[in-house]
Amino acid sequence: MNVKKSIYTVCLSIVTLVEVHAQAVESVAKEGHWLTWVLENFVLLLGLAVILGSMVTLGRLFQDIMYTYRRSINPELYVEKESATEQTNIFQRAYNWAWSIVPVQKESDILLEHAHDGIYELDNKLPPWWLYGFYLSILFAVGYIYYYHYSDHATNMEIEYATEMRNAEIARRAYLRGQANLVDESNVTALDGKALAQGRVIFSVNCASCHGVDGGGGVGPNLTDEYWLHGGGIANVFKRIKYGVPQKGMIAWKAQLSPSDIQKVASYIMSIQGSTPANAKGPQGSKYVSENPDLDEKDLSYQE
Amino acid sequence: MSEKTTLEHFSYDNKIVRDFGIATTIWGIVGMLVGLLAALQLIWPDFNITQYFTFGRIRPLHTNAVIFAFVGNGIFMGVYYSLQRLLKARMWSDLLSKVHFWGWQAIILAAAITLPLGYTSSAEYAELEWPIDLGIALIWIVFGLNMFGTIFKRREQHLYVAIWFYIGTWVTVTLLHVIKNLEIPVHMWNSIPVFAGVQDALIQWWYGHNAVAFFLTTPYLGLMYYFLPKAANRPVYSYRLSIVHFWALIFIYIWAGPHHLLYTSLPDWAQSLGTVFSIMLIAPSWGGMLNGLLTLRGAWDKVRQDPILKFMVVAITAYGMATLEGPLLSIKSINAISHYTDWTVAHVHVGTLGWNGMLTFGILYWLWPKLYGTKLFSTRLANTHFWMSTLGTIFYTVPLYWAGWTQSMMWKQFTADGFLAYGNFLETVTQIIPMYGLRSLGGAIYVLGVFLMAYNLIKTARQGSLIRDTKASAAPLQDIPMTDGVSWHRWIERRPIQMLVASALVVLIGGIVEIFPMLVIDKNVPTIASVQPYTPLELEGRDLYIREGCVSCHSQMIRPFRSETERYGEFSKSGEFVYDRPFLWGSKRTGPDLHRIGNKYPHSWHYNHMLDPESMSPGSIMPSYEWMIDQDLDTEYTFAKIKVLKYLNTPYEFTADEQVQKAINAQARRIAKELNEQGIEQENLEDKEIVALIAYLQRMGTDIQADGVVNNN
Repeated sequence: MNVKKSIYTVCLSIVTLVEVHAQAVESVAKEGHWLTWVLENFVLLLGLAVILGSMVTLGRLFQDIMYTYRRSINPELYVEKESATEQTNIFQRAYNWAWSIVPVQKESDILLEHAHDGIYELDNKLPPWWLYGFYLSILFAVGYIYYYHYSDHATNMEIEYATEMRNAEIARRAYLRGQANLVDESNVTALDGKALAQGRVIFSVNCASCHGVDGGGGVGPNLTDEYWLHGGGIANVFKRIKYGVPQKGMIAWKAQLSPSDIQKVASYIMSIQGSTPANAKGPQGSKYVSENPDLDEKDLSYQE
Repeated sequence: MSEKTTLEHFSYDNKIVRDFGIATTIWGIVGMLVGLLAALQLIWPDFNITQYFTFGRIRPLHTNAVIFAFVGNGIFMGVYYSLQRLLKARMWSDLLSKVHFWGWQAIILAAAITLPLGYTSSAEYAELEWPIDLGIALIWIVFGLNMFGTIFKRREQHLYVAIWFYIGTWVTVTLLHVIKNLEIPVHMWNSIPVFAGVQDALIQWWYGHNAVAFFLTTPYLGLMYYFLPKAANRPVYSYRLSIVHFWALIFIYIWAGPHHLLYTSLPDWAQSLGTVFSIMLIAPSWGGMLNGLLTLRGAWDKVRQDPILKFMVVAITAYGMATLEGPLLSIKSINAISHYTDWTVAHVHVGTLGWNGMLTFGILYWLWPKLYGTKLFSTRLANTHFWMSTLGTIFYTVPLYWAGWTQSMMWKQFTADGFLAYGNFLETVTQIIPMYGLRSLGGAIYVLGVFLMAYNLIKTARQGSLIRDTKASAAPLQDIPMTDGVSWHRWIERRPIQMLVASALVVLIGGIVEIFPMLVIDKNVPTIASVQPYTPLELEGRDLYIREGCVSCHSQMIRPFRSETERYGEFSKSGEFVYDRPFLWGSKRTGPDLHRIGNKYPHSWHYNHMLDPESMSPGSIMPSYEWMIDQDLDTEYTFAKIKVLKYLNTPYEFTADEQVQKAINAQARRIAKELNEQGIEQENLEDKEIVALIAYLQRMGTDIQADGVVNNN
């Protein structure tokens, strides 16, 4: 019996470990009421309890195996031990209390008289750990509702969201303060080398669906000819990617691509100028003449 | 028993049990094979064969087949066998038994035909259209009549715990089915639900959650209480535990539905109720598991030898794991990770493959030799089947846990400078496709095992012969004074009607407290002035979206998380859905959320994408919907739909069909012209279904943009 129970407890604790991890990753350290900690770490506590329980069970399993083994060697020992092992140490007693099961040998005492189609029922007590666990979950429920809806710490989804966004913005700004030379449309320059290869990857993932794998155009215009709807050159292309042309279906990428990614993909687009792919779309917009061609070519100061 | 009374002689109907047993086996195989097909479609879109067998139509076919055909017939098999014996009475009416059997199979057949044809209400686990809903109601009542008729002519005073569960199941499923399917027919295969948006969502998950509770759980607990002590030949562990966990379970279960809607537009108070009642559900659920596993005390040596008990032990253990995991998934911080991912799919399959599947198999192996008066053909084969089921379940679920976790982490990851680390949704899909492969392998192993079982059962039947009726005799029912004290429960166990009424009251409380305020208190659904009803063309486009089952893979509910608003746009507000009948929030994101898809891409992007998804998203696993480009839009019933919607207080001004057709044509021509300008050339483009779909997609989530409410970043 203990063998099976242990296996089953171990399975449970594995599942629970996953949950605990989930909880740990998600819960961001927050200042607050001690109840916050209890509520947010409920799963953690539960997980600990299960792990503890399964360790105890594993220990017992080991004990039982050893016991059975010894018994098989020396059967007389078994007869003696039968009565001796009961009620020896506090853990044993606590364990017995937690289950409060009437032993199989004595179960005729609690056998209910009537059988249904030959099925008898015992009248074992509700296992105390189960019963008190149930009470605990009811307490948790009351605490949860009080805490999140009636206490001073009451919150709701919109407040949580606003907090998350504010914290993220603070973290982002702190990070950016440490970064020099932020790229934007006023100072962007074309890159070369490794950056072009990276730009090409960004292009194939995000842009190719509308502008063609080779940049020859499709839903969107051809990017390899010298005709541009919103101006050519690295700065204009950077700007168009960043802000988009929503009314024509070109989305603003600033929420999805970082400035340096936009710079890389814009540089890649500059690099495929004049590549004349097969089945390219016809010219749209006007011919673009650069005002500072050297900047559009490449950024000589760039070091990867 | 009094010695003086004369014995009555009667017989138990075994044939009906056998018939349901055959049905559960056949539909089990069919349903699981359909599931395997769906799993393969997620790896190779080429498995989406013709418009009738795309994932969006196959997925509801799979869920309906395994829930209502496989498990449904399994329930009836077990109930018809155990009920007669526990009451010492033959089923009340053999005719009703037959009507029940054939009626249920006819319903399944109707489902198997209509779902691939795209006739669906899109409500999860209640997809079937109204004529079939009526059929289900009718057959369910036949089942109830037959069950209660048998209970009334019983020769056994007290109802055994299994029967409490059968009664609780019957009354709750009746309530759920009727309330969920309140809908107004438009024509034979189309209907419009009475409730809209967030209200429809709450009722849907009150239903959907409790379909799991009262179709997959309570009747199977009833079966466990009969077949486990029978197979183990041991007394049930605790009568007291049976009482407490039965009433606690049915009372608490019904409240937990909102945990399917955490962080959605459902009001916070309802979400919190869903969470706390789910936590309180752990103990009552485990009560069933404990009572099952502890019944095996003193019989573990038998478990080692007997495949039937092995099946039952793993089933009960899977039940215990799933019912602990479920409440944990109802904790909001965990749900924030698991929801919309394959984690949920894995969780359900622990329950269905483990609990329902393996308990059914155990019962079948136990029943078949008894029904045919012989021994099981091969215990070795049954053991092999046991290991295939166990391994299949593990191979199925573990990769999906992994996949769900991985994908969720990818969705949520940001770079230090504040951008989504995986801005392209598709990246997060291609990452987990190997896991989909392993999952299919697990599913294949599992279904192969069922084939083994079918072979074993056929061979067993061949070596015996069906005992159509089992003779029995018992004294007639007498009102014997209660001997074991005046416990209220002993009292109610003798009174089936009171038991029925008490169960109904107990399950009604939770439903009423949660649903009623949502329907009558306006504050729960704050209105937004700029939100307008769909145009007739958009309405038809929306019905195409429903027909194709897009909701199987795409949600329309952006949760208030940074990772979602950065990816999709402003989070969804309940006021935006007041004209959504049915709601289409979805529960799984195999593809991205679509609530703010409107105006994101040009029409031509959608046109090309529906024609060949890979042309716009290389590597996409979405199937092509090329038929929508060829097929003409059917607007015959548009006005009828609008009339129903007007009746349900949607402010339309149309009073005649001509006005509706004019509006459709005008909008369709405009979209076709814009498509033309974007380089799409096609004859009679404005008549095609694709135009209606584009109209709907471009409208979605845009109403609040007009207000300036939405301005991202």
